[in-house]
Amino acid sequence: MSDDEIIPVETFCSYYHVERTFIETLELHGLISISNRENQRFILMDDMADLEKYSRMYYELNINVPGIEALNNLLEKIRQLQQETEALKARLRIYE
Amino acid sequence: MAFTDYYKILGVSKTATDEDIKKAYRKLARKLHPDLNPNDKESHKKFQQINEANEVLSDPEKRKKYDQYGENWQHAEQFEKAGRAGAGTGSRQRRQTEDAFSEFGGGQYSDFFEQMFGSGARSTKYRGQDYQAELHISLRDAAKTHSQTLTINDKNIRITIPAGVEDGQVIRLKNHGAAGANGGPSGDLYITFRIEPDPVFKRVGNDLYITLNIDLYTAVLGGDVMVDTLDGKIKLKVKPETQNGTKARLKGKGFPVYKQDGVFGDLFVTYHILIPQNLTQRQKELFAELSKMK
Repeated sequence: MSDDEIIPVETFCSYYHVERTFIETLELHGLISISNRENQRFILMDDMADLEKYSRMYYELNINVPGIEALNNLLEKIRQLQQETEALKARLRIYE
Repeated sequence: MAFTDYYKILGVSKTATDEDIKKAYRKLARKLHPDLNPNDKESHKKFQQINEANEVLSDPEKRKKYDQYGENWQHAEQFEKAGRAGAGTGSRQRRQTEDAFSEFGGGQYSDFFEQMFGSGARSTKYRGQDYQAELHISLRDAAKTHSQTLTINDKNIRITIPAGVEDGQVIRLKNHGAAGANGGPSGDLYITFRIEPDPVFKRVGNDLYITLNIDLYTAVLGGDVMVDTLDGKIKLKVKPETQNGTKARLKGKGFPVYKQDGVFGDLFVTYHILIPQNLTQRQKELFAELSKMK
């Protein structure tokens, strides 16, 4: 994994003004992955968009981490249902 | 330009306390926040309104000014004009810049807000707006990994489209959205693929469907026919006594599976049997003879 694919947890916390414990709680709930390298902890760039979203939910909307986890599951279900709808629409077009 | 009733937007009375406003905003934000309503433009629009209302009513100075001038905000503009000499010429540019900001940090502000509070009203970091784009590609192009160059807001972006991409599938290109403001990060670019219908093949998931016309004699006696696949024509053996509408399955001749090299769906061939027309006298006699043998 190259350096531009990860960002130190401390850098993220300082740039976005979030607490380390928030990041750790997200990891504990399996919402993000933390990578360890040379005694330092890193966030994967692939998780950044999700992490920004979770930060907004936590700090702007006052939703706690278990709530974020529940919402995340529901949003994933919505996404799957939307995909299923698209697939069914495509299948229907065969009979049009 | 209509007066905007921020109290009504948040559903609070004019005597609401700071705590009441905070509670009302949070309650509405939890319902309308773009993170919780992906791809819902109506919710995004409403969220911008409650965000703007909250920004005014949760700031004692702005709220005071809003309460003072309220529906007569035009007079506030005149009153403030002296203090903002020269600001008028910059308003168009300011509005254009703000159009580029997403709803996530505050989003677009109404003209009412602009007139009343001007550009200096905000200093929060804003993440740049996410861009949405649609890319139309043919079914045959979607079957092979290829590159395309898109022009988004005068910038050329070269993307590689993996074989097997689906109609309606969305990919995200990080930081290719609008630039952020006040040091905020750039937004992302979301590209939705639209696969154009193909005149020959219909696609369902990773399987392809095709209708093949065969003559009556091949259907009755069996024989070889040529069928189109994505890789060109192949020979297909038709069994004797094949009925109209019968389907044949060609394993692995369908659509490539997204991001799985060498894995393909199937091709389903539906036979459509053509009844001969303009029969000769001899043919009619033979068919008549056949019909007697039933």
